[in-house]
Amino acid sequence: MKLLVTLKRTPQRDARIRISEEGDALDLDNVQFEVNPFDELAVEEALRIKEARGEAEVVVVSVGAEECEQQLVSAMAMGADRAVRVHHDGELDSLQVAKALAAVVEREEPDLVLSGKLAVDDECGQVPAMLAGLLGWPQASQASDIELSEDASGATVVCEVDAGLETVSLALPAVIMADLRLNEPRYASLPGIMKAKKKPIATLGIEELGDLGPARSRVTGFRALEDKPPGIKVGSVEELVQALEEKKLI
Amino acid sequence: MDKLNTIFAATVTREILWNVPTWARALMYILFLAAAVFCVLGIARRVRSWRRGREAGEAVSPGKAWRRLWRDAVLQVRIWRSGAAGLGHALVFWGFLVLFLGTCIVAVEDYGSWLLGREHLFFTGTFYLGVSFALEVFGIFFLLGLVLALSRRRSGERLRPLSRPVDLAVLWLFLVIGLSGFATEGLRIAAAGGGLESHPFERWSFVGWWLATGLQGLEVNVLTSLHLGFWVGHMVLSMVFIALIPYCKLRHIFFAPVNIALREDRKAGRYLGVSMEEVEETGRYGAAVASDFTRRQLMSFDACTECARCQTVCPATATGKPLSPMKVVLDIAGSSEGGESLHGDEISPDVLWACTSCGACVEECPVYIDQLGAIVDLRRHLVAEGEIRGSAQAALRSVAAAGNPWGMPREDRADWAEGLGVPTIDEVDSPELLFWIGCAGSYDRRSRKVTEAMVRILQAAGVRFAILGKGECCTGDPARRMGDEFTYNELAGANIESLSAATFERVLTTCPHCFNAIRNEYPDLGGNYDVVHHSEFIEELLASGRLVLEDGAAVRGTLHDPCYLARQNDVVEAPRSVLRSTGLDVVEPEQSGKEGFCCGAGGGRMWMEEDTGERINSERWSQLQETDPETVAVGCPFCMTMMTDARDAVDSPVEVKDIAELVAERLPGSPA
Ligand SMILES: Cc1cc2nc3c(=O)[nH]c(=O)nc-3n(C[C@H](O)[C@H](O)[C@H](O)COP(=O)(O)OP(=O)(O)OC[C@H]3O[C@@H](n4cnc5c(N)ncnc54)[C@H](O)[C@@H]3O)c2cc1C
Ligand code: SF4
Ligand code: SF4
Repeated sequence: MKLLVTLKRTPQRDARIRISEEGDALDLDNVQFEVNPFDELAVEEALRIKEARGEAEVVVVSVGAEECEQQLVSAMAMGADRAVRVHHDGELDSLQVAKALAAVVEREEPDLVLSGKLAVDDECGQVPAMLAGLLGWPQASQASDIELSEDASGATVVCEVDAGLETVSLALPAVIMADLRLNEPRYASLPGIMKAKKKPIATLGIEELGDLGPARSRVTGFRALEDKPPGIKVGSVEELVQALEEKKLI
Repeated sequence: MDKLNTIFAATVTREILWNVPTWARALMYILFLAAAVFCVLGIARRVRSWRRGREAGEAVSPGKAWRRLWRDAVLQVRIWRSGAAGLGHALVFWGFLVLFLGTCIVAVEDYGSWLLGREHLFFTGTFYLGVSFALEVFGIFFLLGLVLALSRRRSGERLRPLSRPVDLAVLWLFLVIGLSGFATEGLRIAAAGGGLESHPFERWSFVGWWLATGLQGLEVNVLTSLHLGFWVGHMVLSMVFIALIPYCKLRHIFFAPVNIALREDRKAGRYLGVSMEEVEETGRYGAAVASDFTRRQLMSFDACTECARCQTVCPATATGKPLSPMKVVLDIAGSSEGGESLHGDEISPDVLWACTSCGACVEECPVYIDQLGAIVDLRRHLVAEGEIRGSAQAALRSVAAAGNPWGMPREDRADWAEGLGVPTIDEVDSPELLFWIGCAGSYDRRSRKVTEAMVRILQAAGVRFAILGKGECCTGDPARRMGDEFTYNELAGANIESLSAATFERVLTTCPHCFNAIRNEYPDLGGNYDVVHHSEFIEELLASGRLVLEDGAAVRGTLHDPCYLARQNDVVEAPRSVLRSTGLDVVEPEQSGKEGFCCGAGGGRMWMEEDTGERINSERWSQLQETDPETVAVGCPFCMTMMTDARDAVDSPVEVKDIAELVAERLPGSPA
């Protein structure tokens, strides 16, 4: 079986992000990058499926400039077998990315696509759903448990929804999005990274993938949140009620 | 006179193998040959298994090797530390050694005189009497030691959790060999040459003589038959023992002295490094199979006496974690002849991650096995396989990305210093001290108070000091203890670069983990600095009169020794002397100084869940409470966190304070 994992390069989760003085861009100098944490969960899940079934190929795919090969290598250090990078240096909106990924999926013909539920940079969370829509495949989002049928014709997925947990069955091929509680990813250690450097990364030009259409959304500016005023510590419910009344919040 | 001497010498001896017929002698030679072959093959197999290991480390000079043998094999110095068990072992060992030498003398005399065609060589006269007497004395030592060991096991005084029936059987085997030896001797003295009167000089063999006088009523032919019976029994059991040596814990008879002599010189706090180039070349990182260890490590594992001392002092074992350092050693030794993976149900990730790297096992082992080094090598393999998850993995990522295990922004590292008048290294020309703050001292709210207290002390004493500021990053200690050698190398390399670019006399640190890494481990990467822990430096300031403290009311307190300070770096007295000068009446807990009990935070445990068994910090807290303290003094930010948490868990009013804080409270003009 073949598993395809989509993967985005995002700023390191502890990084402090600043906005440029003009307010039109993020100041990403001195910021380290990593694999989007939710995509890392997706890679881990693919590896677990491979280990449980004894046989499977795990392919990681990223759309981006050369730097994102570092993240593809990290995923291969975890255990992915090979990588595909769709070269593009510049802005794309979610639908354009989804179209590029759909073209890669059509070439690779995987049995299952695993994605993160969102990328921690812009938190749009749209690409995987659009990808499923473009492919006409079923999708399960916010997955906290994935069980494949013996013959890999379908999957049972537990999804985290606002009201609790929802269990859905779907036929493969499908797109499933990983949520936080799906698993605990393994560590991409440096010895693993050294081995991974010998694994292949295929590069595709974005223009090879057909017409992606015009961007339908674009970023017009950034604004930092104002600092929250410092909190106060209250000793009892009475004090809390009093404090809320004073601030005319109740 | 000369003639008399000759006659004396000629008669004062005994017939070797008296009353032993040809068939019994033949049996002896056959059994000896079989036992020797068994023994040598067994040893050869073990030695061959070591040779599959890696070659690494520095050789030991012959002079040093002999000195070590003298101290710890012959004089048994390290064994004495464990009271009755030590005495028992030393008695058995010395008894065994002298009885063995006696047997060698007899053999040389017998074959030598036969080869040279002489009646006697040297086993006559005064020498004979002297040897006979010595053998009696040491024979008694041997038996006494065994009785001591057996009675300790009988009374269950400290029946080790892993003490097995075979261990008891070995003691009984020795006891029977020893007793049958004395019986054989007594019977010979009673029966040979027509009885006691024919050889009055045998009184020197006083045990045998005493037995013989008791046996005098028996017929001579009964005595000779009994003698032969006992002789055969003694001989057969001795051969069984020889054959057994390499196949059970008795192998330490050969391998413990070898390890004592040839072990590598390495403190528990100084790990054997791995370079990127090495991994690239060999594709090996950490220990997946036994042959991934060094030859010397494999040799050391065979020295294990299964005494379980390491396991008895291990805080993980003591609090119900699945780790036993002894078992790790034995499991590796048990698989060193095959090539199977070491990792599995026996040595599981839970076993390996339970270690706090406290070094108690290393300190305790009578034969100098480095259990901690083995655990770290096994952890390295887990890291290479990505088998480090959850909060520990997050800490590793954070030290790599942000230079501290909590993932706090780098640029906030010196925020604590705002408004305190603390200069950075580029603002002071060649200061006396570079104050190394450490991650906890920089970011952790509680530990920042300790940093601030230390700053007040330095300022009060007029010490010229500076900090690296934002240029400082994690020493790499947590990464190294968790088995991530590459992250360690990167962090340590960056710090060595910053430190070497600066000019200062000494490095001061309030964190024993930073202290250990910079002092013991950075030299391996080319960074050589004079490092002091704040307890040592404050002691110096007080002694030289640069720092004067105000008197105050005496407070009853105790000190929790940091493993990385006391045990791993021998700093035991300084914190005590400083505490006494603050008016703290230091009451020692049962486990203190180099024998201290870990707080539970080392080895990366600070960033892992502790959900099996008792909590190590709570166990330590209870131990400290036995001294009935008002204040628990600590000298390490990790200990601070662990002791404070343990205190809060039981809602105790006892104060937990760092040495620096207690000193700062007594600075002139401080609000007490
Ligand atoms: C990438 C990302 C993914 C997320 N995913 C999910 C998700 O899958 N599911 C989900 O439910 N949420 C999700 N969230 C939202 C996030 O989990 C919530 O913001 C969080 O649960 C709020 O809890 P907090 O303790 O951090 O509250 P805070 O953000 O610290 O506080 C929220 C509010 O709670 C009140 N409050 C908190 N503590 C106190 C106190 N001690 N005393 C009085 N008032 C207090 C205050 O009014 C405060 O404004 C996500 C957020 C991000 C950034
Ligand atoms: S270092 Fe400490 S915790 Fe680790 S095995 Fe040895 S005694 Fe146990
Ligand atoms: S490793 Fe050392 S302390 Fe532990 S059982 Fe073996 S000999 Fe004893």
